[in-house]
Amino acid sequence: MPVNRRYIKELSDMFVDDLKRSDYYRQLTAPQRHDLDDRLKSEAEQGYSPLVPGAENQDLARLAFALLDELNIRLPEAMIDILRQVDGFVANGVTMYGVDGDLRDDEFDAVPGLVAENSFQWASFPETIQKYLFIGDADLWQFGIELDTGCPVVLHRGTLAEAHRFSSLEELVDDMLHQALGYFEDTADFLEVEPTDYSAGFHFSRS
Amino acid sequence: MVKAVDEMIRNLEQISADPSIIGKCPELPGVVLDKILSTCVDRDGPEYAKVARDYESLRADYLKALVMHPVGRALAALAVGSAGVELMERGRPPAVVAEVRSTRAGHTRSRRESFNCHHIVPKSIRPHTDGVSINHPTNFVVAKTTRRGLDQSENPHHFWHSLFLHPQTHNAPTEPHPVYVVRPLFPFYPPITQGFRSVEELRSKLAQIGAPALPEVWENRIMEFSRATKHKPYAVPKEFHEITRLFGELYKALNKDPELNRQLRASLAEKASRLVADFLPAGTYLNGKQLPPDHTIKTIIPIIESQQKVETVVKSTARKRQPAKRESRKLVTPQTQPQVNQQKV
Repeated sequence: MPVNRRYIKELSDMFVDDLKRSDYYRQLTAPQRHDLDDRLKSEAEQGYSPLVPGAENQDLARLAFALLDELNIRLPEAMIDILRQVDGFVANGVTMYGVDGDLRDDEFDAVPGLVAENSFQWASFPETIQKYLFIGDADLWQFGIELDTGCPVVLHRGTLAEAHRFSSLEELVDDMLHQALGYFEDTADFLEVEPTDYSAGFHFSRS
Repeated sequence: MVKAVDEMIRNLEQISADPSIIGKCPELPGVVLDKILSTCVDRDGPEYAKVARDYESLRADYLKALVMHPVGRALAALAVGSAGVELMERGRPPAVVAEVRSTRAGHTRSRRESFNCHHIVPKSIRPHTDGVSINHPTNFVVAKTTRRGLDQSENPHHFWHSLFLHPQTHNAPTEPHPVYVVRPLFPFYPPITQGFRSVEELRSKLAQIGAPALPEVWENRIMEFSRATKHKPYAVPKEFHEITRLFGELYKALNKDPELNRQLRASLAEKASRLVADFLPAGTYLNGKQLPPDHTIKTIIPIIESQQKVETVVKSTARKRQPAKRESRKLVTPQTQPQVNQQKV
């Protein structure tokens, strides 16, 4: 099951909008801005999501090897499928981890990496060692995959107690995207306007 | 909400009139430990669910109100820049685009310096101390959460959480007991991205970015923070990354032997407890055990007890789902003017 494409498109639009308001963009020379605009436009025309790309096969292979080598865990197939669609993001207080920068050819650390973040979380909270593969976080939540069962879970960040289990990883990532886009409506409002192709599962923003 | 933000700023000012409190602990400049008598909230109960739900709907309003307040706006401009202020005006946590590159396959991606809004007293704790309201601006801080590989030096919130909060709440007793939480003395942490060697330099920076002038009390705090970090951008001290390094060294040598893993967990937990014990007084619960009566603090960090009752009430405002707004906005100075420093420059 794919991640909600509409959420990814909206996140991409939001990132492009942020970029064009940024000091980074303003400080580019006119030819550099023009070149960047062309690249963003071309990607969008080809049906990709500029600034929210999926991971490439070579990077995924390196990530899987590093997880096994450094943390002794296998990268779940479901996570590989997700990363092919969205290789991490940081938005609106929600972070989804991606392929670590040092595993890429250009070593560009665009988002927090799965190996580094799990190393750090496991070191800080030893009771989680080899229990969860953490895939992201927000102020209130830690998102992960329970390694024994493969079940996607949300943990309370303060206590690491389990808050919810999802039926699929796509559903969990849809929820992360949902909050990243800033949607915190109550149940009634949500049901009024939500198209039927959206996840009907748990929304941590409405827990 | 703007009134609640005003109350938060006044509360911060009242914690100490003496700006030297900012640099008392060089490892943790600009923060104090707040002693909160607390118990853990029942996570399955309605109280916990309500607190979580309310926070999600309050946060956007809080971020907007923070940059509507003249002092909040000036502090925001210093901490997150004009682009960050613009995002907060739209109810979003600040993030700064640092770089854009194309991947091997020709897809563009960007690296963003990020900030999150965090609770000071976490929502998993039920305060028994008067004056603490979990979902109130007096309990929020916008903290930097940038991570670059294993380098967590720009992620102070994670540092506070793993060093102080987790050892105190893990295996904590069920009866009310004191928990020491990190309370930043600024609404943003770190409060500055560059050093200021003189107050004139600070005022010039604020004028340059079109931010309101700061009252003297905040100018003094910013200057003190800059002195404490030796006029460099703040980074979490390297010695507190030791747990991560220890983990890396130990873990690579291990296999799935349960006994070896048990030893690893014990070793890491002991290491973390030893680190935090240097900051905390006798009687504090760490991993369920109290520090003994003869325990002495090795690293002094100011300790306060929040007791002032919250005067303002904030209400959550549920929003219907709608696409993110994209209209262009200009960073403008709010109409309300702060009480600015009257010193001649």
